[in-house]
Amino acid sequence: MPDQSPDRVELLQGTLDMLILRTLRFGPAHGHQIAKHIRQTTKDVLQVEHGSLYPALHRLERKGCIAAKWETAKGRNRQFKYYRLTPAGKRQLSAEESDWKRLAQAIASVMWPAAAEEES
Amino acid sequence: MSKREDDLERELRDHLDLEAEEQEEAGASAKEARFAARRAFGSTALVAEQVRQAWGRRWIGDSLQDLRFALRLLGRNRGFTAGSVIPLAFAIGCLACTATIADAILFRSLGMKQPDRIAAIYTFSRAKNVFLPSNSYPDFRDVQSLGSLVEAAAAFARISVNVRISEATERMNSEVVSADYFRTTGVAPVIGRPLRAEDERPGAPPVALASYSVWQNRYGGSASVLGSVAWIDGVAFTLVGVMPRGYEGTLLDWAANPSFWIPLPQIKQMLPFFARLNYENRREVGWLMTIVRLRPGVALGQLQAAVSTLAANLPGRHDATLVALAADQARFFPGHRAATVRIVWVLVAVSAAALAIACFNLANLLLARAVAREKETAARLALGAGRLRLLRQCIAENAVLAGCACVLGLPMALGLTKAAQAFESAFGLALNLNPDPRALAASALAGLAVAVFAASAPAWAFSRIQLAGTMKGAAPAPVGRAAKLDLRDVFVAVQVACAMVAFTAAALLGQSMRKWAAIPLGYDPKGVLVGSGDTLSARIPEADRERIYRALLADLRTETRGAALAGQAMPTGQHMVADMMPDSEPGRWTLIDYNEVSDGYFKLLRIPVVAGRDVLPEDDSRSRPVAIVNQAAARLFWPGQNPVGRSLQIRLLETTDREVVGVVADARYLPLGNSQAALPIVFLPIFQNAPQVVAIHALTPGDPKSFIPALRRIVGRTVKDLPLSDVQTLEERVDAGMSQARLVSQAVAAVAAVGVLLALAGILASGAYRVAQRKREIAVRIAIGAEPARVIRAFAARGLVVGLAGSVVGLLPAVWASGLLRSSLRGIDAPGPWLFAASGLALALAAGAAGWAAARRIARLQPAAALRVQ
Repeated sequence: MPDQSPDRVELLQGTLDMLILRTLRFGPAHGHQIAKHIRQTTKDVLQVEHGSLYPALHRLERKGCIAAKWETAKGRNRQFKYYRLTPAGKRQLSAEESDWKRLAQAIASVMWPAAAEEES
Repeated sequence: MSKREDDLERELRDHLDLEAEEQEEAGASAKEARFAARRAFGSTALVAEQVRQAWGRRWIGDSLQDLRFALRLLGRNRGFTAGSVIPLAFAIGCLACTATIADAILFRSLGMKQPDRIAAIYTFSRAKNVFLPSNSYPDFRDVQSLGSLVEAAAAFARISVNVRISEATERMNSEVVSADYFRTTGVAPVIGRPLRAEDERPGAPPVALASYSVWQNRYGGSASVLGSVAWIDGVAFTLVGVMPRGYEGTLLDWAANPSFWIPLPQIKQMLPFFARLNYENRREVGWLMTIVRLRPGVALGQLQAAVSTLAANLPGRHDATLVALAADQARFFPGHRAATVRIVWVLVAVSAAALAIACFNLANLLLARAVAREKETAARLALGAGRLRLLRQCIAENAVLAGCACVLGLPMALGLTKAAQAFESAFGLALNLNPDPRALAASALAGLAVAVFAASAPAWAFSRIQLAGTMKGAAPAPVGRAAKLDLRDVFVAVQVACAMVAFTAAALLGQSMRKWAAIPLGYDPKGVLVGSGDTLSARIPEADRERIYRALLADLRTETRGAALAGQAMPTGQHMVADMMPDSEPGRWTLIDYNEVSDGYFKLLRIPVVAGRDVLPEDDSRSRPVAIVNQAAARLFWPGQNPVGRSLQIRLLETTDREVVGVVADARYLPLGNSQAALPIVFLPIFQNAPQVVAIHALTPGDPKSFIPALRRIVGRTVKDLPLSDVQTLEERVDAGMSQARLVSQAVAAVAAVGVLLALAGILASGAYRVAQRKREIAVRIAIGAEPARVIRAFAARGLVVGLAGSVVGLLPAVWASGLLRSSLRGIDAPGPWLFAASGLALALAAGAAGWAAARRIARLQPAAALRVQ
């Protein structure tokens, strides 16, 4: 079962918002799809805690980064709450992405100095 | 529930459904799948709570939630709700009532313009050390002439008149006012015009202004009132204006509020003897109130200096001077103000005690409940509720409690105010005690403040909750902790202290009231019925009065055990006074009370004639003028001598030289509760000075109350149309003098009763709680051989100790309160130390009994069962 994967890694604080926004770049999705997408694309390494996902979604919605709408799912006779990126969300994503890149590079240059020099 | 909450719930449910579907696709059974989905998700409630936090602005949602929760909780614990809300409502009601009375007495605007520039001028009798409502017309003219200090001055008198507007005749109060009354007070009529100087000229057509309430009630508020005619004491007055709403004269304490304002000289048309009085030129005819409007910047002291100079130059009134009083003083008749203010203070103290008792009662109950809900609270803390969040919820509960108390307290306040108003003569004031929004709001705020204060007790309890211990259940109190100070005991002790204050005050008042009731009156009111008849409204000419009065007496005596007439029924607070000069002190005029009485008056009231003779039927206008004095007057005028045969000059309409023919024993002519010194009084034969209004006294054959219709019938058949008013038994009249003391005493007794009951309930509750809490310890003690009776005694002692501590703490404020009472109400005795000792002991014993009652359940305790339960 996925939540017993030994390779589970706890999400870093503040990265969840970015992952959610990135996931929504592919199009509108509901909460379960977002969680599933993150889990699958990281091959079960990143587990999104539900206790964090939904508060994060609602927080992003309040900040205006995403918008929510009840829509009927494709091929189903049932409505789900779909979230989509807003223009503000897109800006937020690119800002967070570049921040993250800088941070990752900085960490990498401390951890693996040689590799970092080779790259640069 | 809000849409947002619905959406959230649906969203989380969808998630669980989708998760379960996935698990099912992976091959799990439906039940397993659902279970796995739930496990993966964790607590939906927790997630929902975290999402709500993400929403921000949680205060509103939380507060609503808190309120809903609080309402549900209070609805479930009816006993707790009643026990906390009712005392608080009672306290808020008391407070609102007191605030309404205080506001009406001290602060409510009387409707004058720039009232700080108004001053009142009174005559002060140095000899009797009293203020008199009696400036003469020449005095008023003198004051009016102080043009450099005084912008305008007005003289006025309030008189009781018969008013006929359409058919029925009614008795109302009116004021005759000098033309400058409107310029002085700054009052402008809402419609029509004020009175002018030309309305005072001889032969001017009679005009009057009506009060706003007369305009509304009798004329329907129509503008057609202007120009219509009202018959006042037989004179047709054309109404030329209406006073503004709520304007009821410049004085609070002069009988009922006026309904009409009439030019001063018209009194000569209304009361014929005034026409002969020549009051304009007679300085000894004192009958007017005077108010002035000071010029801007003039200090009261300057006016005082000026009127003192005026008074010093007055011929023949060496015992009187003029005194100027500021506006806030002048809303009362001077002597009354201090007493009135003190009675307000007593009421404030009483309601403060009620509030304190309710407050500590609430704190105690809340604390008890907080302890009882320790486990619930610990569980909530464990589930992740913040302490602040819990505190807010606690405050919400209290706000709901206080809100309920305010809602309940409001009708209580109205009821109490109405009851206070029913004590007619309690304040001796014509008060406008309409519910006052300011007073109600202030009281509601006080109630809320109490609730917030009371909430701090359970908050303190929360802060001490030890999660682990409480959750494990019953950390049993170690035996040694029994002696530790318990906050609940402190609260109960404070309640006992408050109750002690109210209790001693109630005991003191009760003692004084009993004593008053036992004071010999000097006359016997039993079986006497009194009513007053007005010959003027029956259009009886003055010359016919004697004949009518004689006929009335003769007719009354055929059906009663005795009948008599008097100018005024006693006891009364408003006596007639006249300047008198005994032959022992030539040239020295003194103001003395007098009353006109018929023959049979002293016999009817069983007042003994101690020297000389009684009034005889033959004492009339044709015979020699005589007077009868009481012993106090005899002592004042002829100390150590026999007054019979001496002469006494009395200035009424004319000055007459009267021979003193008798002395009667002293009696209490002032209402009970007034000074107990005997009042000097002079009696004149009624047919030598026949008054316009007579008090008809009848000694009835049976119960005086049931004789009322008979009295009306007899009076009606003798004198056609003589209206009979103020019919009451003499015993009721005597009793009315105690109404102020009775109002205070009943209020104090009610607060004392509530306070004592609540304090005892508090002791009972805390004792029961302590027994329940330490069941196991008690069971162990009994199991290893302790006698139940001894254990009970140990627990009961706690109540006694708390009661004693409260009594001791309450001692000092109780002594202070009794001092306040003594300075506020006349005739309250100094309390003996035994009163405090007995009250304290009684309360402590009651507390001990409550503690014992609570501990008695120990005897029913089955040690084995108790040990098994825990």
